Amino acid sequence: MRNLLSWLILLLSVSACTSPSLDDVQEVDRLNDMSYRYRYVNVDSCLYYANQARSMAVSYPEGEMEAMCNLAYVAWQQMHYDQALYLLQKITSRSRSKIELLCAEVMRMRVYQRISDGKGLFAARNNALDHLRRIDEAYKVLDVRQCNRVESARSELHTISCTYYYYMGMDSLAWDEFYTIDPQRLARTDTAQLLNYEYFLGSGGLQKGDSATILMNEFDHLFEVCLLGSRQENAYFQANAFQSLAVLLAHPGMPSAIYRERPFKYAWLVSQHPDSVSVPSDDSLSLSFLLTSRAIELFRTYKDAYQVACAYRTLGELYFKQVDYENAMDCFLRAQRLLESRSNEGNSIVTPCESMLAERLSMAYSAVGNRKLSQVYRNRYLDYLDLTRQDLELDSRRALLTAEVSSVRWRLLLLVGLILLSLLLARLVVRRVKKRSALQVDNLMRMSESEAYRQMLQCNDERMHEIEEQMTECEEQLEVSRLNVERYRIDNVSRRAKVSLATSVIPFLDRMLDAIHRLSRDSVVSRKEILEYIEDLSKGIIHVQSVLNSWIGMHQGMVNLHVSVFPIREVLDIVSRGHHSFEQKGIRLIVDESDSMVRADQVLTLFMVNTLTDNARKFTSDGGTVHVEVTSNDEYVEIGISDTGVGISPEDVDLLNHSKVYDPAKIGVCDDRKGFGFGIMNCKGIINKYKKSSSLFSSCDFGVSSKVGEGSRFWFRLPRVLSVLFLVCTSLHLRANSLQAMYDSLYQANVEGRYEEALQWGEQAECLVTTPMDTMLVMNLHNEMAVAALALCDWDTYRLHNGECVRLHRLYTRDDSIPSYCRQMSRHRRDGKVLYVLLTLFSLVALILFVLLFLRSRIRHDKRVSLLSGYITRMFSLAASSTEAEEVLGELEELHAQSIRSVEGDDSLLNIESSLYEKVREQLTRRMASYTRKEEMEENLHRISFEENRLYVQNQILDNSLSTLKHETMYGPSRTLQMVEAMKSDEASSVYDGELCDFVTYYHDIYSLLCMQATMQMKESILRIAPLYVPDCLQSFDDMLQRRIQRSQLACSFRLENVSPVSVQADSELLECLLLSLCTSFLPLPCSLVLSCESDVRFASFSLSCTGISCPVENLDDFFSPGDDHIPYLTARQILREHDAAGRYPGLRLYAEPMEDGFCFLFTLLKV
Amino acid sequence: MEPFKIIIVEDVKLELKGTEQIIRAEIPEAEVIGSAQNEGEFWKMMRLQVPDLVLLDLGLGGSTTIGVDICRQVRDRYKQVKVLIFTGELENERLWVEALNAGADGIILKTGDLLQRDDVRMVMHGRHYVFNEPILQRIVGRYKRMVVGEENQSDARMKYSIDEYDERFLRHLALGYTKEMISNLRQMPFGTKSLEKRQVDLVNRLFSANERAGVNATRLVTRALQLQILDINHLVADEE
Repeated sequence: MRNLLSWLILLLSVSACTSPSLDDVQEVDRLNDMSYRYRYVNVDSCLYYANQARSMAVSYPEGEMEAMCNLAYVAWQQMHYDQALYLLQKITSRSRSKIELLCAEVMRMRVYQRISDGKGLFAARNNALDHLRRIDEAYKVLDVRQCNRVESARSELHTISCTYYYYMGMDSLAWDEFYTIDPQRLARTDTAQLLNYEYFLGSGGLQKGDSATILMNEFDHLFEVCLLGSRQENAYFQANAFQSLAVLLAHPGMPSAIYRERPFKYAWLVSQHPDSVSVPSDDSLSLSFLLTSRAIELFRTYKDAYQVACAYRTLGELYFKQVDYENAMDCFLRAQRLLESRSNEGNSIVTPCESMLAERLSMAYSAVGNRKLSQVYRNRYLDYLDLTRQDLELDSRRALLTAEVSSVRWRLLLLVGLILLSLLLARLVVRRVKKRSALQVDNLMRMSESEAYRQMLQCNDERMHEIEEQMTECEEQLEVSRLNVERYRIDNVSRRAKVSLATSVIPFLDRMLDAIHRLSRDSVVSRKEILEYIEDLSKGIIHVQSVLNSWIGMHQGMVNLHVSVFPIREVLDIVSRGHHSFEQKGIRLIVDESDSMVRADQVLTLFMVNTLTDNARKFTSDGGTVHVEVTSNDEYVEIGISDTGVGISPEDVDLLNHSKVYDPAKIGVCDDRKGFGFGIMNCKGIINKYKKSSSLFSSCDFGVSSKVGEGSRFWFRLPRVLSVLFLVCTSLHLRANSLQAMYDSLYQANVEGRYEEALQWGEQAECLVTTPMDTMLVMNLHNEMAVAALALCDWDTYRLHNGECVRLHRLYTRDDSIPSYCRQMSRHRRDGKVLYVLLTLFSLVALILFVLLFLRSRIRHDKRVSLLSGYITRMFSLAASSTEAEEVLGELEELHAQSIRSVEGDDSLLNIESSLYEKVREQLTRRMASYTRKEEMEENLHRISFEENRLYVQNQILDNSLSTLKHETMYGPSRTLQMVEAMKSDEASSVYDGELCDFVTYYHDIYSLLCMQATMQMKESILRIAPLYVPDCLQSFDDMLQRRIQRSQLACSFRLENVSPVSVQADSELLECLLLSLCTSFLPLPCSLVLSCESDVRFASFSLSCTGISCPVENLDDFFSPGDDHIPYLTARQILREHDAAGRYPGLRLYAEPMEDGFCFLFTLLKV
Repeated sequence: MEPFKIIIVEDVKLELKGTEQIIRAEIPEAEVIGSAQNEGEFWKMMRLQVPDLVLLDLGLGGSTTIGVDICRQVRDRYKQVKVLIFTGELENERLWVEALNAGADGIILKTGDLLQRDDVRMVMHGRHYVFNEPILQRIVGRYKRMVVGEENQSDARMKYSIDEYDERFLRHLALGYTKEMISNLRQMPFGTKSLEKRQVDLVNRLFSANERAGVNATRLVTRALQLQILDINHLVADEE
């Protein structure tokens, strides 16, 4: 069908050609041919013939159009671009001939290419391709002249596109475009275009191979153009070829290579110049100069000012190369004047030549030391680059396109609607009512397949997915915290056991004191006996201490400080949140702001600040102030908590600052406000622990200053992390920041004229540049480096960076999608027109039918349906909104009620409404449920991490207390021992009694004090007592142990026997830990372990029998007495002790019993 | 003091030795007929010979409270035997109470003067509640605090001029009564309106001028408890 149509059009156009008199036509064609032939030879002739042809072709429109096209060429060549476009527009609007249209579009492309208007170029190109396709379909009926014209236009089209692509740096597209040209066909039809083709091959960028071969090949092609041009007197191409040859010959070593390898061609070239002298082949530039001057001359005669300017530019470049900057600048300026004189004033059209000239001028001015003008031209060059950017128009074009697409889509939709409507109306004549309601129901039902519905589903799914993800993350954190809590709890039990062990020394000390008191009394028990007893006690204490020391040593370093780098603000924020408790007491809490980063354990830091502020609150009265202040220097951040409270005496301050151990009860005021006073001791312990852990913490310190009645200030210091260092250390994002910073320094250096420094900055910054970077930033970086190099006249560096800058500029601003956009646009426009006609037609028909038949009832029904669909769409969008589901549900209910009211009386619509409403509601309910789940999980996480932190702090403090206890009381017993030995040797004398008594009293006090500090931490129970079904619990323990035995290939065997089905009050994890503690030392031995559980009235009694090995202790009771190997049993004892303390009925047992071929551990737990 | 027989239950040998020394030195009347390191040994000895006094450590072997259970069983089976607890549990007040509930005649802590002749004598003479100095100090301390608390209460009522109706009103507010319910009480001859007035009046009395803002019934009652106008241990409603 379309073929036939184009045939018809072509026939029409061909027949139109023949309507005027044949002679006239032939004359006009001849004149036009002449004009075309003189295009590249002499513009004046070209203009003359074109004008002639135009005046003759009054009744021959095709001829007139062709003449106008030639006139447009002349206008283009004389740089009157507006006029050229005006002529071409005339052709497009008036001509029907495809060939004329094609030629006009190609001409238009030429104009747009010259003025760097990518969008115009591609629009013209698409039109041209369209015309060409049409022409190709009817190629056979064209006569020879027409064929030739089409071929010329075709090759021109490709070469222009190729040039454009090449300048835009889209090399592969340029290649494709170039290789679609068929040189053979050109040779037959149009020699000018063949020359053009050859010139392209020679002028660079399209050859392959090594550089020497490329240059040689290019030389050959250019020479060919020269030769052909001079033969045909084709000034344009000849001059162009000379110019390109001059550039080519300016390559170092090139003239001698040509002289050697192409002697004849070389000679010919030399002979071209009228004043030719014998040119030595190694003089690299003189021949280039000659050729360029020749080119200028030729262009002058050809009257092409643009090309003359280009040639002057080339000449200038040659002078530049020869370091003759004055002459170079002269040439550049001359070229610039030429361009300026011709182009219109105030016209923003920028030719590529102009932008290049600006750059060269900036170089030349820099070379002669005129930096100011150099900067001016550099900036102008950059402006030109920006002006020729393609993406300036991108947004508006995209908007235009979108608008067109959407309008077309709407028209389409409307059209479809109208077709449906008219069909429906036709059928309605037969079954009106039934059909109508069916369609409406159908339409509404389709709401559940609509885009809005899908969007709602998608939105909901996305949101649910988001929530799921958050939940997974939360779950992972929860698991980590849970595991930590488990670990900390077991660590805590072991620490509690240590404290119990330590406390078990106190009765010994009491007995020692008692014995010492009895020394002085007369008694049946001899002095010697008592002294021996004291000796025994000392040894006993030493024994316990050694067990404790090895135990502490065993776990040292197991719980490390969780050191991280964090902003101190995070801690202060939490502290300031507690201001209510201060306000209630009428105290003002001031918390400083700070941006400092510190390296410390965040949880412990918070604990310290909390402890100190709590203290401050306790001792400050109504109307006072507590100030948390932060000061810092390079080394540390000092956090000070000062109050306006009661203050502390100088002696006590001294005690707090300088002694490790003191009795907190005797410090400061003594009233019921005071707790046990171990807070400050604990804080000091933490700071000491930092100090011990690494030299990084050498700046840590703790101190107090105070005046009675005025207030106190407690402070501690943490090592500061400088934020600059912190920034440099981290990821890519931060690297980009530092790149930015370096760019800024570079820019600053350029502005201030420190160009060497600028280059150094640039080099440093370049090291940071990796692939995923901000192109704009990198581009600017290269630009600034180019500016610096320009100022320093370092040409190689300048070219390198300028080239990179331009490349990135093109890359950044290049728009590969222009062609497809333009194609799409024109297609949509065309379709739109067709649709529009059809649409009008249909709507007219439909309207008539509509008005005639069912206007009234339809309006009413439509109103209902549209109301309903509006409600439903609102429901969908409501459900797709990001507001929380809970809030949305209420609004949804409201909408539901409204929509029901709107369709009252129509059951089918009501049904649809309710089904859709249910669907939306279900979505929302689902979302709400998952959100609630997530919230629950988060709360759980908060709870667990709170517990985690609490246990962590408690463990740290217990560690500190135990280590202080260890260090401060180490030498007490041995000293006692020495004294007692001395007393024994001198029995009669009781002079030492007092001394011994004093020492032991001191020792006793200090020991009790430190134990007290530790026990204070243990007041809260860590158990999670719950009813525990024994068989389940033991079974899981069995599984765990069997796995362990198998995995480590342990020698023992383990089984369960006689497990009564009872439930006990216990903490399941700690029960497992207890069982494991009892088993653990027997696992590697070849014995058989049997665990059973019986129950009596109140207790469930567990027994763990161990047979097949001899008992490791002499006396079974010794299992639970202090001893190096008894640590697991001491832990077990502690666990049972905790259970005992938590239960409502004391009396739990844990002991060992002998049995045949072994022994047996027995312990009891309270039954539920 | 008549001579009597004693069994010592103590699992730490060093401590046992010390206890024996004390008994030998201070209480020559006592005849140590045995010492047990664990529950098994103790019951074996009891079957052999019933003593007059058991000196019982609360923690044996791996367990720390087994003594309480032993004490209870001794009380059940041997009514005439005296039990004196001799323990190193210096802080665990709850355990002391448990031991007393289990029928112990006294508790001696292993600190300070340890075991005194007088203490043992008193137990043997049938005195209950025999304690050594450290426990007595604690008991007296608590007693004093209690008495002072009661005094404070009457002081506070005088200071803030709390009359019988104020007290009743506050007490019932604390118990969760509404003003309407309180006005219906038999001994409350006021209506809701005047109760409201009374509440404002109470706020003015109990709070200083700058604290009064935003004080509601809960805060008022809490204040009354803090000032010991109300006794938290005796919050009982009147008959209606």
